[in-house]
Amino acid sequence: MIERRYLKAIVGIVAIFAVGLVFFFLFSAAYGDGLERTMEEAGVEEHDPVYQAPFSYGDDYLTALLAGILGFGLTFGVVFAYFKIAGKGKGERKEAR
Amino acid sequence: MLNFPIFGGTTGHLLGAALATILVGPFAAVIIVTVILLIQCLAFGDGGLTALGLNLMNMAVIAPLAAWMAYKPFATRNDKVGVLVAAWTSVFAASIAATIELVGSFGLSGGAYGIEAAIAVPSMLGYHAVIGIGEAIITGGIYIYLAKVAPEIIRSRKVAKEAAS
Repeated sequence: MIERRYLKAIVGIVAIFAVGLVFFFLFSAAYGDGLERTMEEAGVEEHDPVYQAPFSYGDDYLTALLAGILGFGLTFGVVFAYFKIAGKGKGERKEAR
Repeated sequence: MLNFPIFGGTTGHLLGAALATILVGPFAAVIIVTVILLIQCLAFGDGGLTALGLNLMNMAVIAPLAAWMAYKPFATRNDKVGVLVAAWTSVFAASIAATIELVGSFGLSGGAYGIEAAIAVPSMLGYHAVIGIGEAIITGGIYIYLAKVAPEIIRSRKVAKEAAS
């Protein structure tokens, strides 16, 4: 179904991100992104969420990795199902995040 | 959501819209990023439910289309430069849209919601101009890798070649 070298490419990218994630955590986990930073500068606060999500990204390497795998699986599944239903049959998509 | 550090204790998060656009074309990318944002919101609580509509508009619609428009002129001449430009443009275009929404919200609500233009415009656009560079580096890296190991899966190349012939 999936060719060997595609599998190799996917494994390669996932491996790079799995290793890179450690460094991302070292440098960026404590800081907000561009929008959050702008909100901070403007003194704007987020309201309480109206919806509680069942999972979180976790706050250490292992839970984040599990969350990433879960997110990858969910995303792949939904996108694949969509393209199957839409009749295009090309839902293969690698998303390493 | 993959955060990477920029300057002054701020991070950017990878959008992936440009990467998706270049791999599968802009319209499939709209669907893919929509699914990603839905799952991030519904499963992981990243990005509020009430903000989902605007998030989808900015990151799932505007970003891939901006990436595609930026990529197209480069596609037949220098696709690698095109990928970098597309990645930066996708982030910057989404941040322009978000800025307009924040400022518009501030104006419409009389200051109850959103952020005033004097702060929102320089901060949002300034940070995202730098975040776009991070997006370009990551997108470019993955593109070069994929172009090496599996060049035929990059749909944008085919599309660009067909358009040129």
